Amino acid sequence: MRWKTLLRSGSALWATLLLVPALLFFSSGNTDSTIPYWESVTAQSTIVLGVVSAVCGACAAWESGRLKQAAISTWAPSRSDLRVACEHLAPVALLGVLGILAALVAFAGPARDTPGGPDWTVLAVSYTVVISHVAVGYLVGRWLPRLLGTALMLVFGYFWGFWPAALDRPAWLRHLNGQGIGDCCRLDQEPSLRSLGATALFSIGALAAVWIFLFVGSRRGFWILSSAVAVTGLVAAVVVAKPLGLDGEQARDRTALHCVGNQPQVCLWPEQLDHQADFVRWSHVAERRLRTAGLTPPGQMAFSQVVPDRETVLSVTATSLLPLDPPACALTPGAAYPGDEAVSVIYPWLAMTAGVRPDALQWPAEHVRYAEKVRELPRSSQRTWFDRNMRSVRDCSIKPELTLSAFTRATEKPT
Amino acid sequence: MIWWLRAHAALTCAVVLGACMICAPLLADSNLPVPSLFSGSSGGIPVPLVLPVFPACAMLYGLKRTPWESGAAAVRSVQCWEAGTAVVAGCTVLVVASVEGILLDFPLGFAAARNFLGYLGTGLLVQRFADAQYGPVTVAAVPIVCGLIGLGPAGRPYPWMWPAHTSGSPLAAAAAGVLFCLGLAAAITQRSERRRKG
Repeated sequence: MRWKTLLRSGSALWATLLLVPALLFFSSGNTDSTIPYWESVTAQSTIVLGVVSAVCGACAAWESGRLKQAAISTWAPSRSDLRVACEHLAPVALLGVLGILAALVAFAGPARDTPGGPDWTVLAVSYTVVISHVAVGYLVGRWLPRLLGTALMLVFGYFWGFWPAALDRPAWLRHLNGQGIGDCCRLDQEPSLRSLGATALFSIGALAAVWIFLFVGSRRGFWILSSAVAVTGLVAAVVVAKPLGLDGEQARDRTALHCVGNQPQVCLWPEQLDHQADFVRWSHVAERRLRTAGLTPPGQMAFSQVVPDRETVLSVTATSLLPLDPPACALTPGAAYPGDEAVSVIYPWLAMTAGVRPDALQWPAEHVRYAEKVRELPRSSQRTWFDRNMRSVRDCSIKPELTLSAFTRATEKPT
Repeated sequence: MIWWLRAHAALTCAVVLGACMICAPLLADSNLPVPSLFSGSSGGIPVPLVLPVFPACAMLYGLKRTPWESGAAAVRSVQCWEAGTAVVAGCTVLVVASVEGILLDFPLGFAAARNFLGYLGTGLLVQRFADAQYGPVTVAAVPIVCGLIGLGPAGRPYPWMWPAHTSGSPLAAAAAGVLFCLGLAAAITQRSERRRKG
C-alpha cells in the first residue's frame, strides 16, 4: 500500500500531530526532578510512557476496527493477515518511537553537556511496553464492535499506565508497567535491571500471547498456548519484581568514582569532574574549619550535586559528621528518640562552624537562632555541647542537654 | 420489551453500571496520577470520578447497537424510548449514589453519579452530530483531556473542568445537568433516516 495512503487514511498521523507537541510542552515544563545525569534524564522521561502507550493502543484498536469493518479477509487478499496488520500498525509503532524520543529530547536539556548518552536499555524496555499496548489494542479492536475498542484502550491504557505507581500494595505492580524506575536516579544510582527485566518479561509475554492467538492459529490448542504464554510472562515478571519492593534503583558501579586528594578525600562521579576544583577547594575549607573547632572531619566525601555551590558543599561536608539514619533503638515502632531535638540543632551549628552564612541555611529559623547562640559560647564550651548532645543522638536512653547555661562554664557537667 | 432490551444490550449496561457503583466506594481514596500540562506531575484525579466512563460507554454502545433501519417504520417513537432509557439509568445512578453517600460515607458518590450524567450527555450529543461510533471514544477522552488541561497549579481543577470537581461543586453539577439535558434533547430530535453521505 502506498505509504501516503496509509498515513492519510490511518489514525497515526492525527495522533502524532496532537501527541508530540503535547509531550514536548509537558516535558519541557517538568524537568525539575532531573539532574544533569543521563540515567536520571532517561528514567524521568518515562513518566509520560502511560500517555504514549494509551494513545498507541487506541490507534491500534482504531486500525483493527477499520480492518474488521472492511472485512478484508473475505476479499481474497494476497497478503497474509500478519502482513496486513503489520503494514497498518507500522505508523502506530513509529508514533510510539516518536513519542518516546520527543519526551527524551524535552527532558535531555539539563544533561546536554554531560558525558555519556541516554540509557538505551531503559528506552528499549519502554518501547516494548508501547508495542505490547499496540498488540493488545489490535486484539481488543477486533473483538469489540466498532470504536468501543478504541475507547476501552484509551481509558484502560491510562489506568494501567499511571495507577500502579500510586498503589502501595502490591508494590511489584509498578514494575510491570514501566513505572518502577520513576524515582530514579541520584548520581550514585542507576535504574534497576530487575525492574526493567520484569517490565520486559511482562510486555513480551503479552505481545507473544496476542501474536500466537491472532496469527499462528485459532484452534483451541492455540488459545491454551497463548494463555499459557501470557500467564508465564506475568508470573516470571512478578517473581523478578517482588524482591524489589517499591525501589526501582540499584547502586551504580563504584569503579566509576574518581577520588582525589586527602583530608578529606573527595570522590566524584564522572558528571562532577568538570567542577572538581570547586568541590575539592570548598571541602578542604570545611575540613580546616572543623579541625580548628576541635572536631574530627570526615575522611572521605561524596556529593550528590553535579554543579557545586559553596554553601552546599560546606554544609554537606560538615553535617556528614552526623549519622545518616537514626540509631536502631529509634526505629522500632513506638520508640522514643529524644536525640531528634539535638539533631535538628546540631545540623545548623555544624554548617555555621564550617563557614556557611546563617542566612543561607535551610533549616527552621528557631533552630538556626539557637545554633547562633551556641556559636557565641567559647570554643571549648561549644565542643563540650557538641560531645554531650552527640551522645543523645547515638543512644536513645540519653536526653539531650540544650540549655545553654549548662555550658557557659568550661567544665563538663555530669549528666 | 424483552427483545428491545436484548437488542440494546441492557444486561451488559446494567452489569457494567452495577460494577461501577460497587467499585467506586471501594476505590474512594485512590487517585489516578496523570501528567498535567499545567500542574506538572502532581496532578491526580480521584478514581471514582473516572470510573463512570465505563457504564457511559456501555450505554452509548447499547443505545446505538441496532441499525437505523430496524426502527425506520416504528410506530412508537424510538428516540423517546432511547431518551427514556438514559433518564432511567441516570435516576438509578443518582439514587444509588445518594444511598451510598449516606450509608457508606462515600463523599464522592454524588460526584460519580454527576459525572455519569455528564459523560452520557456528552456522548449522546456527539452521537447526534457525528457517527454513532464516536460517542464512546469521545467519552473516554473526556477524563483524559480533563487530566491534561484541566488541572491547574497544585493539582486543583480549574472551575470549568467539571469532571474533576468534588461532590459539593454547584458549577460542576450545573454543567453535568446541562450536558445531560442537551444530550436527551439530541437523542429525542435524532432523525431516523440515514444522515451520512455514502
